[in-house]
Amino acid sequence: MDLLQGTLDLLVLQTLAAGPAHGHAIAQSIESRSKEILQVGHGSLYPALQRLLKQGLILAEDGQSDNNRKARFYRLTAKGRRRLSLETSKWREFSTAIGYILAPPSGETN
Amino acid sequence: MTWWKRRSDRLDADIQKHIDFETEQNIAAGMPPGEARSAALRKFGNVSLAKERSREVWGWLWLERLWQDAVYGLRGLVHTPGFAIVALLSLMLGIGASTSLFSVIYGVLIAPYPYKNPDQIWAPAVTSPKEPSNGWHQYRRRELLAIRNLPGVATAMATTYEPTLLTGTDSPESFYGVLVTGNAFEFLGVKPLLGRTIEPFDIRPGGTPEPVVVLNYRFWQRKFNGHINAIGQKLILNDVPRTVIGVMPPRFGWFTDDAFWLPMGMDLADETPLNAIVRLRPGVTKEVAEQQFHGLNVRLAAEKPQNFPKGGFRSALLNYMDITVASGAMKSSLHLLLSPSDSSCSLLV
Repeated sequence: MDLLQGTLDLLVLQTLAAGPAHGHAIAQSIESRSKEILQVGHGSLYPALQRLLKQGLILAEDGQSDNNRKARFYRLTAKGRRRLSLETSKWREFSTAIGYILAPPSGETN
Repeated sequence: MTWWKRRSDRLDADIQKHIDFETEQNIAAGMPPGEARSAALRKFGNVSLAKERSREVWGWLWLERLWQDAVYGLRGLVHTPGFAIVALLSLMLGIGASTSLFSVIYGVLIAPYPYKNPDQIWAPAVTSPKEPSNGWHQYRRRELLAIRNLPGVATAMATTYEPTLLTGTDSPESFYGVLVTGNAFEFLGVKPLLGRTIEPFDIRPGGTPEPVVVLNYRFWQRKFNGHINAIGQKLILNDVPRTVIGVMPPRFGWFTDDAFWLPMGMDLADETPLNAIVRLRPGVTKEVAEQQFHGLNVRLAAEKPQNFPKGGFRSALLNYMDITVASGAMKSSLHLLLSPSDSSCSLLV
């Protein structure tokens, strides 16, 4: 299943809400947490990261990976956290609305 | 640019690490190393596209692309020198043609020399049904005084040429000196670049001119190397030493673009034809002034019929703007030239 345009940024923010992570870890987390339904082309993660960096929603810093290797870690900023909650509630409203349209409450179907 | 490079390198390293991690993970899952790597690359997708998209976010990619395009273009030109030379030549021709055309149009149409109130300057003309011409009518010195006495005329000036031999320098050189009446520069309302212009007091009460000369900018550049000490020096013109009193600005080219202006003596017996121009008194219309000129012309024709067309004539005043600044047919053809000059340039290329 392909990603809706613009949702990758939201997924990255959500992933980083759990703590700093490097690029590969972010990609894997998105994949496993969506039960592998969402196939993130790993390459498309990097433009998304640059977008978020530019907007000041995340920060990048050098760090150590689990197997003690140097990697660039991305971390959510306060601004990013605010944006995440805003976008999450917007997304919920949207998906509820779509849900209503696709499956109307049973009372109205004869 | 080093900052830009650093950021690029960091992105490259980041992506490289990502693929390494994926590869190691695949190996850990039991894949042979070669397969593990190609699987990782497959999963990542197009690496250079990802890099480019990322750099695009930074916002300066267009500059990078422009630079790449320029380098690519230059390389192409070097490989095909024949095409490069033809393209360059056509560009040079096109740009040169447009530029020279524009400079003519600029001088004539857009910014003609700023004489004081040029639309108020009129040139008397005489036209005849038998000899159709709408050129200036030329008057004599005596007649100029009569023009000045016309009730509608506020002021009148006249210009003529005089072949002038310059001696006393390395080699004698001949010019067309321009003789102007004492009020000429005041009439045109143009200030000198250096020194002073010819003034009414440069004509003595008896009508004899003072031995002075005002230089054209180019003459000054050529003969005095544009030196300020030209003022006060002597030039021997037609065996008369004359004092340089002024230099005019570059664009001032009244009847000459390479010589000088001399005060015109007012020997009333002198029959040299003069080009006269006038300014009218405030409130005097062109038609009224034309009638006054016609009256004068009829009188003068009775005295000197050889100076006027035979078999009757009409008198007219031509506006100076219409003579010097393009108007009518001239104006439209210049406009016509101007509009396709850009497209002719692009046609050449």
